[in-house]
Order: sequence, then structure tokens, then C-alpha cells
Amino acid sequence: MPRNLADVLHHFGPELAKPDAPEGRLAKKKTRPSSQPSSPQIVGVPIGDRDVVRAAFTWNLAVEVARLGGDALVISPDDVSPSPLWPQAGAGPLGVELRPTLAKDLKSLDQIAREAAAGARGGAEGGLIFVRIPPLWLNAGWEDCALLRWTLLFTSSKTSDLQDALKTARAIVQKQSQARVGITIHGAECRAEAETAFARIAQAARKNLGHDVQSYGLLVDALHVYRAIVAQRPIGLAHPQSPAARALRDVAQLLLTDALQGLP
Amino acid sequence: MTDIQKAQPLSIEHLRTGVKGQLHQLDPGLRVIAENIMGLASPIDLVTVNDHGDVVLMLLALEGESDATLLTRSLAQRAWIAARVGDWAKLAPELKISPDAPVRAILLAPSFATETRAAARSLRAGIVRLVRYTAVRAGPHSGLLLETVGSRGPSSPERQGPVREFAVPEAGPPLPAFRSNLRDSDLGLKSDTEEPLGE
Repeated sequence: MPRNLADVLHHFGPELAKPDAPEGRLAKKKTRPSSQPSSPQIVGVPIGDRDVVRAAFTWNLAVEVARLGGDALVISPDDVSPSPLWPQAGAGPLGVELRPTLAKDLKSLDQIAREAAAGARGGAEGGLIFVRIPPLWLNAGWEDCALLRWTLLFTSSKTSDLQDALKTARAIVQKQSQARVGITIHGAECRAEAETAFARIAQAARKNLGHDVQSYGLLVDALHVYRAIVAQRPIGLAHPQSPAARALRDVAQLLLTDALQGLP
Repeated sequence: MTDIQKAQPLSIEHLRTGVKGQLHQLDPGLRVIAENIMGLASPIDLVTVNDHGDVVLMLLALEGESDATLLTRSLAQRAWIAARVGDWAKLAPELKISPDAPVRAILLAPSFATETRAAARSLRAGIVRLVRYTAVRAGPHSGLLLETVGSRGPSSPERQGPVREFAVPEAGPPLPAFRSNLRDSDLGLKSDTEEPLGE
């Protein structure tokens, strides 16, 4: 018969709490006291010049960050106007700004991103500055590059896409050993497929790069995503209850939470 | 046919009784050695020992109670118990407590916020396990559905059964966990498990 620790407890501490003890049960949930605005964090997102889907994910994530109370800005080096990747430049839904730049290389883009971060007000829930990085520019990275401290890679669960993402991660961590490399899986048929895909790349990154990547959830390739791309309307506003919007919101929440915790 | 309905536990005592009755869902090897004992400034709902002699404390939260506070309390109670495990092992050798094993914690609540999950994940694997419960009632019968949350990846107990991580010796740091608060049903995706076919 199990022996009750209460039998011997008097050797070690006080007796059972009285029912009216002030600390007897848990405190009720309280809302967080008003917090100071936090400086926005820069998130580099490697996106090719014609990669409309990843650009759409990024812009929609920025809108979701704003919906969650954060400050959001998208910076993209684009030398054609209007860009085929993005909606109209300037302030958009919920104040999310899309700011094209004429940066010609990673160094000038890094400088622009740093200045934007320094000038941004930040939000009570933090803020994020998404910066599109042309993938070829990654090779010019350096240890102190602000754009590489935190990056977000979108990949499907296909082996070829995971290999591409691993190559991109390699290019990043070779230049910046402490980089936080985030992975968001898109296009999976079910959550388990996304989990497996993330586990594969996490394992390969540790084995081949000696570096741990971080999970930033999954996104769905729903019809709403493609309609939103064509209509240039954020999914979270056009179809807020859609699975695509929920997934974007979840990823945005993960990003904001980590942004508030700061970079390692 | 009896309808199954969600129902909140009437009190922490009811919840504790329900959890005790369904410990096997968490780990078939768990045995209760004490309940509602005074720990550090507040009671510990259940103190259990698993097959390996690890002490596993369990803290419960009712709807509306803070899950973040629950996590904080669990860390404090872990430290409080860890300082006493050696004495317990000597005083009650029949409990077969392993005095050198880390004290573990299982937290049960109706839900866990993102920050609580992230905080629990940041601890060493298997130290704190978050379990979401849903209280259900079918006619005169009531029970709890228990589900581990904040998994550490595909090998987590959420997918592979009860408390496997407690029994596996730790070899290097665990791989980063897949993170998402959404299920297939939230995402409009099909599950990879087939629905049972009824006739």
C-alpha cells in the first residue's frame, strides 16, 4: 500500500495549508500591465525576384503582426515599379507599410534596415521589419549583418525544397554563426507532414551545419492565398476565419513572441 | 444513446480525483504517493513516482486559473521536493524513489498560453510536461480527456504514447521542437490518421 508522504512530512516542513491560506490556490489570470514599446526586430526573408508566393506569405504575415498589435514594415529591394511581388507601395492595411528601396547589395540593404529599425516607434506588442533578401546576396553576408541575425525561410515538405532551404541556411550560418534561422513549412497536407518536414531539416541542420534551426509553424496553400495574391488583399482581412488566415496568425504570434524575447 | 458533453470539474478535489483515476493515460507506471501536501507556500496536488523511481509532481489548474503561475509554482515545488527526495528515499525505502533522478512535473490545465508553452519548452526535455484536459460528462458518468501539448517534435509523447520521454536517457540536447498551436481541424487539413469506419 502506498505510504502517504503526509505521514512523514512534519520532518521537513509545515503542515497542510489551511483552506483560507492566501497562497493556497493559483492566482487568477491577470492582464499584462501596460508595457513599454519595444524596438522592432529585423527579420530577413530570402525571396527570389519572381517568388510571388513567398512574398505573399511575408506581406500577409506583416498584416497579421499588425492585427496582433505589433508594428510591421516590409522592405524590399526592387528596381522595377510596380513590383510584380507586392501590392502597391506605401502605407497599406492596418498601417503596414511596404517600402521599396533601391539597395543594390546586401550592405546597403542592411544599412536601410538598420535605419528603419532605429526610426521605428515599435508597438506595445513589439514590432517586426521584414526585409526581402535576394537569395544570391546571402553569400556577401558578414558576422555583424543585421539582416542575417534572424531570418525566416519558407519551404514546402518536399525533399528538394528542404534541401534548398538547408543550402540557404548554410549560406546564412557560414556568415553568422549565431544566426536565428526560422523555418516555416507550407503546403503540407496535414500537420504531421509539416512536423516531419521540420524534424528532417532540423536534424540535417544540426548534423551538417552544427546549427539548430527554429520552427515557425506551418502555412496552408489554400485557395484564399492565391486569391489574395491576385487581388492584392491580405487574407487576414478578406477571409479572417479561413484556415490560411489562422495559420498566418499563428506564425505571426510565434514571431512576435520571439521578438519580445529578443535575439540570443 | 447518451450525449457526451463538456463539463467543468466542480472543484479542485473533483479534478484531483479524476486525474488520479486516469493516471494511466499519462504513464501506466505512475503511482500516487501523496496528495494535497503542503510544499513551498502552497499545496502540491499529487506527488507520484514512475517506474524508474523518478518523483513526478503534478499541479492542477481549474478554468480561469493562471497557467503561467502554474508553471512558476511547478519550478518552485520541484526545487522544494528535490531538496527532500534523498530524505524521502531513506525514510520510505518501499517507495523505491531514485534520489539522484531529476524531479519532474506534470501540469494539467484546460489550456496553456503560447508563453507558457515556450517557457516549458526551454527547460530540459522531460522536466515539465504540459497536459491539457477536457472534462466530459456522459449521463451520470464523468471523465477527463488528457492531451500532452507543447511537443518536442515527432518523437514526443503527444504522438507516441504516454510519457516515453521520461524513460529515455537524455543523449545531447533535444532537437528544436516543431511549433504550432493549430491542429489539422483548425487548418482545414486532413489528419494523417484514418477515421475508424463504423457500420
